[in-house]
Amino acid sequence: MTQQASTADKNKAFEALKLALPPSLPVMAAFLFLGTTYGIVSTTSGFPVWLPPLTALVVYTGSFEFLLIGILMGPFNPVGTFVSALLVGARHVFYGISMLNRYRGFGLRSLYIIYTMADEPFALNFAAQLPPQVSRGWYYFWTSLLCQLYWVAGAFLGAVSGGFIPFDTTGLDFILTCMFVAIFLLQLDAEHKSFARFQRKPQCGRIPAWAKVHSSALIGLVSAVVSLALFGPQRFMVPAMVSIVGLLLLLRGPIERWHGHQVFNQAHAAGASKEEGSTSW
Amino acid sequence: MVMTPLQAALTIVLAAAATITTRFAPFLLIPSADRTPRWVRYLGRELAPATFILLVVYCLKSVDFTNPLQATATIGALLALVLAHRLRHNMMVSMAAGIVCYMVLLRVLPL
Repeated sequence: MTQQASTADKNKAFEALKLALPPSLPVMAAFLFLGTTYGIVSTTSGFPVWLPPLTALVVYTGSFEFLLIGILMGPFNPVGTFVSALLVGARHVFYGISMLNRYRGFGLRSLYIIYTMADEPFALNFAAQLPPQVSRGWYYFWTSLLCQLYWVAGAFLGAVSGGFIPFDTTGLDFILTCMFVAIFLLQLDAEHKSFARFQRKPQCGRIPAWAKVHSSALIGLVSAVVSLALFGPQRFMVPAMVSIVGLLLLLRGPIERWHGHQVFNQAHAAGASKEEGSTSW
Repeated sequence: MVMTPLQAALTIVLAAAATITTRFAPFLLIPSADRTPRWVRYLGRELAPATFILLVVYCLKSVDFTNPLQATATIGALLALVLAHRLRHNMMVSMAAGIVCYMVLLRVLPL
């Protein structure tokens, strides 16, 4: 019985791995490129070969690891380091809220998945459309593991290569921008699919239907652009996030109406949990 | 390097600790699936599109749009991506269109 159970478990884990590998390949390309860059910058700044892979394992936040190189070259500043890392990592809080119900319940795997919840694994796991027989715990785990593996491998390769890379990879990091834009477009599709039917025809009121359907995207865009203009590229993330949460909560009443959430609340009472997170998307 | 090895180790530990805090915070502060406050559930439903457009702006913030090569390659690639998405609604296809267009434009335009 135990033998059968463990073979079934291994099959589930393997099936999930097969499913997780293809979507992770673009991240592999980007992370090998970016990670190598990180490893090279770090070692050419005088740090030992084992440092980049170490931070890749332990800190695992691409942008802050680059900043860390500069921080380590300056005077010891524990409070400044901690606060900066908190601010740069603030967006992880958004990710956690979006995956609150989906990442829990897998024991040690949940611990690892949350520990490694960087931009890319979050984006991949969030956007994943999984058939019901696939083990979510294993899929999220493999995605997270693969992404960190790619990052550590890149950092290691960069550290030992001393700056010599045989082919021209200029511009490859743009693939991450492509990934986020592609997922954003999927979000727009999902907003349209979920919310367009709740708009009344003929139109009443001054706000166009598309704005009601895409209110979250609009709030995000306006917050991001205005914050960028006011605070500059280095400091705009936290104000943008505050603005997004503030506007979403301020407009909660209208948005729930526009998005048919009253209807969802009744469905929720009946035990449907599809509208939590967005697995139905 | 100005700081001692011990201080460097502490710096890395602090960076890791802060990052771990930001990742675990929602899971630790919100006790369980059933006792999630309504407004948090609402945010869980509604944050995603805003989060991703914020990430897109974050990625594009360092693009120098006054540089004609960068600007054309970036905008061209994004147009190709959007077009591919309208045609196929497939994440991988859209990404492929975007990155291929970008790499090609980056090498072809200077000519």
